[in-house]
Amino acid sequence: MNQNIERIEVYLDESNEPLQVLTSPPFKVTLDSSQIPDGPHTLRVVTTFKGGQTEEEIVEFEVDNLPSPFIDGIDDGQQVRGPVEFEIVTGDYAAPLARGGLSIIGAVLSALLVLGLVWFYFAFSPSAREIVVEKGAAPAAAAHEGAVAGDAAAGKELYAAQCASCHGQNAEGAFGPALAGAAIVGNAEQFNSIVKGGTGSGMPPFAQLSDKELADLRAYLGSLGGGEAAAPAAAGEVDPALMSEGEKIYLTSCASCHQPNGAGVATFPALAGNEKLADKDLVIDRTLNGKVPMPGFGDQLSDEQVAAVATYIRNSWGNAFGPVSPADVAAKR
Amino acid sequence: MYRNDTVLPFFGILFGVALWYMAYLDGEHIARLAGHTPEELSVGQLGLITFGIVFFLFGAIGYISAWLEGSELRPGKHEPPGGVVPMVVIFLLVLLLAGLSGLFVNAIVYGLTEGPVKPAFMGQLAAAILLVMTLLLVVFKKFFVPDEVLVEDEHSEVPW
Repeated sequence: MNQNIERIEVYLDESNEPLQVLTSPPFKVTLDSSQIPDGPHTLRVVTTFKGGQTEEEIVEFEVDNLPSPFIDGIDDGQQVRGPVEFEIVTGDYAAPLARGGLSIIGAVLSALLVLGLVWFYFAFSPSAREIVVEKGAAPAAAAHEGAVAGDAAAGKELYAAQCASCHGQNAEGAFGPALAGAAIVGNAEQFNSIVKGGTGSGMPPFAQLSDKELADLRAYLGSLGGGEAAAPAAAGEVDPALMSEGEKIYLTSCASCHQPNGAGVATFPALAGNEKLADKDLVIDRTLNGKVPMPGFGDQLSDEQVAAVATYIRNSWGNAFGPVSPADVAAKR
Repeated sequence: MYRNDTVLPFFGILFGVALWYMAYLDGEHIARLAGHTPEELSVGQLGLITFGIVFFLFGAIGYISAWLEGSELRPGKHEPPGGVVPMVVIFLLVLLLAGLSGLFVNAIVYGLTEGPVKPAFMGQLAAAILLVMTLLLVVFKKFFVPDEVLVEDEHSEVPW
C-alpha cells in the first residue's frame, strides 16, 4: 500500500458530493446499482496524495437492472388493420434459478428400469420364446406333424360332414375335384394349406380344423386310392420323357419367375397346388401368349416344347392334372 | 422463463440406448436361432437402430444446449469466458481434423490405385471428421462467441 495516499474520494456522475471518502485501506467501495437509474453512468475516483497532489480516474459503466420489455405480436414497420393483439413480455433478473433435472439416483433408477425391462422381455417374455419355438424348432415340428397318425375312421366321419357335399360321397369328385387317390393327399403341407386357407376360388377355408383332424382326413382319403402314385393314372398317363423335356424347358424359361419349385415369388403366381392349372386350354394360352407381366413363348417354343412344359407344370410339385399333347397346343395356336 | 431442461434429453438418450440394446439382444436372438451370426442386420434391427439414433440425437441436442446456454437463458449480453485451455483444445481438434481429412483423401486415392477400401472404414472416417467438426464448433461457441439473450415468449412445450 502506498504510504503517500492521504484520502480517496469516489464521485458518481456529476455530483459534487462524494459517494464515499476512504482514508485508510482497505479501499473497498460498495455501490448499490439498484439505487441508481438504468443507463450510462460515470464513476470518478479522486486520489489526494500527501503534499496536495491529486489524480483523477474516470470509469464509465452502464446500469441495467430493469429488463427491457419485448413486444410480441407486432413488429417494427409492420402494417396492421383492424384490432391488433400483442403482448408485452419482460424477463425477471431476480427470479431464482429454477431447480430442474434428475438427481443421480433418479437417473440411475430410470436407466436400470428401462434397460432391465428390455433385458427382461428378451429373457423371460413368452412372446420372445414363441419366436424361438416358431423359427428354431420348425423342422422338428414339421417332422412331428408328418408323424401325426391319422385315424381313417374319424377322417371318414369328418369327410362326410365337411367335404362330401362338394367332393362327392366317396371323394370321386363333384362340384369340387376328385380327392380319392389325388396326389395332393400325399403332400401333407400342401393339403393342410389348401384345406385351412381355401383356394380363393370355389373352396372356402376350413381354418377350424386341427392338425389331428387334417391327418385323419388324409388317412381316410389315402385309404381310398393309391395316393401320389395313382394320381397320373387317374388323370391320364404322363410320359416320363415328356416330363423330363418339360423340366428342362421349365428351368430355362420359367423358373426365374415361377421359381424352380413352382412356389412363385412376389407377383409371379405359384404353379404348385394352383388349381387353375386343371384348365388345359388356359395353361396352353398363357404359355403361348403370356399375360402382363408374363411374356408369351409362342414364337420361341414348338408345339412339342409347349406341350412338354405344360405337362411338366401340370404334373409336378403335387399337381396331377394329366398330360398335354402337341395336338392340343397346335389347336390353340 | 426459457429453460434448457435436461430431464427430457436424459430420457431421450436412455430410450436411444434401450433401443440399441434391444437391437443387440435381437441380434443375439437371431444368431442363436440361425446357429451363426448373420452378416446383415435384420429389418427389425435396422428399425430399432434408426429410432435409437433419433432418440439419441434428440437427447444429445438437449444436453449440448444446456451446456452451451446454461439451464436458463437470462436476458442480457453474455460475454464468453475465453481461456487458454479451450484454445489448446481447439488447436488439438484442428490438428486432428486436418489429420483425419488427410487420411480420408489418402484412402480415396489408395482405393483408386491399390484396390478397394472397406466402405465401413470410409464411413467411420467421415463420421469421425463430422464429430470433430461438431466438437470444434461447440467449444468455439461455448468459450469464444458472445451471446445476447432477448426476452421472448416461450412458444413450445419442448424446452430447447
